[in-house]
Amino acid sequence: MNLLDVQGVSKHFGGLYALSGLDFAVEEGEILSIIGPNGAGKSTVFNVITGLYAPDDGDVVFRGESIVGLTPNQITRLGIARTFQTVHLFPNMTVLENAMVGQHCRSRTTIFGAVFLTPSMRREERSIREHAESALGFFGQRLAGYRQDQPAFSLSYANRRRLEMARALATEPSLLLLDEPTAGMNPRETLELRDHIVRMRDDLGLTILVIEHDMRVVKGVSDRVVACDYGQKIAEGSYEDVANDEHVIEAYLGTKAAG
Amino acid sequence: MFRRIPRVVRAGLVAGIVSVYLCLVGVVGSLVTDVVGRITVGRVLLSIPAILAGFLVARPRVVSGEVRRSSVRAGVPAGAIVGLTTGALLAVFVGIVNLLGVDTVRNVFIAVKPGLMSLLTFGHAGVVGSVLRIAAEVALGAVGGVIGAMQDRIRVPTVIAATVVISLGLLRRIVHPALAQLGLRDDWLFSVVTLGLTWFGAAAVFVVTFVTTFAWRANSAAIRARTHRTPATERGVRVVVLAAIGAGLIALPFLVGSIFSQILGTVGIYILLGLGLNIVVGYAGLLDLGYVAFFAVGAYTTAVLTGGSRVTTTGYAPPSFSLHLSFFIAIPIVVVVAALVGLVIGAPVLRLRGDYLAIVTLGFGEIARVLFSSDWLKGAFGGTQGMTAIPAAPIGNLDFRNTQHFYFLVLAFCLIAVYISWRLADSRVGRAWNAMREDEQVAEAVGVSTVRYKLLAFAMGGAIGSLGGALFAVQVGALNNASFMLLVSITALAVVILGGMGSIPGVVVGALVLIGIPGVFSEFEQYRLLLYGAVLMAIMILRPQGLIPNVRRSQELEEEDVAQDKWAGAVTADEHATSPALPLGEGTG
Repeated sequence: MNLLDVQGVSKHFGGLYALSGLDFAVEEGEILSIIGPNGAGKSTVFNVITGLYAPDDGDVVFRGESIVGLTPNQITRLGIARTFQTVHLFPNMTVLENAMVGQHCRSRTTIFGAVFLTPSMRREERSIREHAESALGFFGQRLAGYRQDQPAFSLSYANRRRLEMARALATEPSLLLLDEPTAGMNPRETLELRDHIVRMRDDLGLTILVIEHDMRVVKGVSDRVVACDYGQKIAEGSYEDVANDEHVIEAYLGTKAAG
Repeated sequence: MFRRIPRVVRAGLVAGIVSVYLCLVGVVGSLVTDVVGRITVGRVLLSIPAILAGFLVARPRVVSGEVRRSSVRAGVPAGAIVGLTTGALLAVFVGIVNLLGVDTVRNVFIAVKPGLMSLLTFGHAGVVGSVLRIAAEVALGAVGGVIGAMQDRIRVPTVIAATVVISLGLLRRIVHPALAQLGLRDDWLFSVVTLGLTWFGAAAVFVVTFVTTFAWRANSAAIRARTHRTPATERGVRVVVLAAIGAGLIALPFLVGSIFSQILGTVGIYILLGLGLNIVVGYAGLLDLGYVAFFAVGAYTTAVLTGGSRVTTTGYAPPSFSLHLSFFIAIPIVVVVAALVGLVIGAPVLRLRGDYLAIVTLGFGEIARVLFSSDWLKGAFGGTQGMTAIPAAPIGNLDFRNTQHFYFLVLAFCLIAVYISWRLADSRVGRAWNAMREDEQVAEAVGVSTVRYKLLAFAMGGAIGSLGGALFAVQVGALNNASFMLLVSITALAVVILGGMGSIPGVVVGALVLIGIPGVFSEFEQYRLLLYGAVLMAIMILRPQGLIPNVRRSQELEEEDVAQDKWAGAVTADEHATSPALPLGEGTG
């Protein structure tokens, strides 16, 4: 069964059609890459899936139910987590607190619980902390130890990216949306992250939808690849198929001059 | 252009402008309480700009990572030049006033009186007076220069001792009864004639403070090093400190007497307002300029529930809806009502952020005031005449109307509010608010329902703020719309900003500074707003993170500072290469 179905989704901003009838599906347990030139509508489709934008047309179906019209926090609660193209952390909160916010949708403590220190609140707080620490622990020593109590703004760029992913993992998702996870990383960090993405599927059992420009990463992680241009799907299949598809080559490089 | 003027002259000009300003607004002439001998508050204030400017030009500076200390030989002339400039400006001011005639000037600046002029010229007309003023300012500037050039270990005790002497000189009304209660005579300290300090008393206080501070600073490090610190002793120290603070809080109203207990009560009310607003602004990042609405809701709801009367043209009448509940039974209802009002105010502004939110909430604050004083709701809240005869809060035979007893009621409420704020800050709820403050859209994407948590912040902040209103109703026993002006919102916000956004100790200190100090030094009452403005400007420039910052927020501001300093340093370094700067106050020391 498909975990996520994007069915004929259109979204326009004024006269600009960012998405026009985009169709694709994500199967449970796979890593699906979305590629396409700048402005192809890749990030827009993420924003539609996570509820930041409402689609003008079409439907997004998660686990057999439409999620169009739900607020982003409800969608996160259903099990779809995401990272952003440019890093968006809570810069003045500590690394651990950033991850703990991820656990927000899996916990229930209210004002009364917090004020009156009920036993269930203490228990839940401990569990939030443990889950957050284990999410940070996914990246090994990178986000461990003293770093957890440092404010997020003090992290290096690569660690900020990792923290954003850890925060997404802390929401205990079944589908993870990564928007250009390796942007701005050096080759070594990129390789490391490629392994992390694969491990998220193998070890954590996540289904992953990733937008990526670095073709080595796309090649390394993808079970399937969807190529988009002008808000439409132009090719779909294994990496090799898509990479050699003439529409895709045309979209990236343009058509040969006549003659 | 201003930057091309030598630094000392620039400092002197600023000091001169400040001095003239202080004369024009009446601070110098109208504050006639004697501090020491026959020196009035006004004169003390007039002398501060020159001293301060002299100090600033002569103080040690960090130049490219290296501390440069001025010698006294360089500091005194630098300070003197500052004073000369300041004095010259004041002399020009005196000259202009004399040229136009005091009465003409007084038509515009009502504070300019013959008394002020004779104070400025030491009672001498013409050139002699101006020369005397200039000489006095030169001396003051030089004193500032000397202070600036002193070694830290001498300067800090000197400044502290001087501050203590001046404060004590203004605090006879508080110190005298306290000493009397302890059975101590104070006629050596306070003059019976001027009610300020005697010269002997001032000197004694100065010397004692100086010696104690000096000895403390010299030895505290050594003592701390000698006493072996283990976790157990640390805990012991903490218990002792907490016990001392507790005992101090309990003894305070009896020591300071009833007038000052009332000021403490008002401080407490603003602590409650500050803590509530701190949840909205500091935790959740929603800039609310209409916070007075909750203050009003708390006060009027209490009045109605406990059986206050409405004021009519013919006398008193019960409001159209009235209960005669005890204050303590009414309080939970008040809190619930305020929380509901928070939801009502919060709902329409859910989509607004930043400036827009501020403007709309500002409007809500005014709407609340206008509604409570409107003819439409006159039957319920008494219209512009307001309500009166609001009962006190009785427990047994204590009714908390007495200011010293009222203090304890406020203290109890403040402790509860502090506890709630503290618990919330470090909980799932507090984290959700912080996340929203940092980045609303991302918080939503990470699973925080921003709609719910915004409403919750307004409700919770409103509930705590309404406690302040309820206590205010008990404290004064009568309400009308003059008590619920925009100024309350602004003051509460200033309390939060001054202390440091999101910081609980910050709110307490902010309220003590902004409400307590003007209350205690009642001479300044009419200049309260001037003081607020000056304090807020100073805070924004010198310590934008607030007096007791919330740890994390301050770090970011500091980082920004470092970056800005680097940038500014690079810019001024360029400037120094092209413009001639007077190399003063840079001797070795």
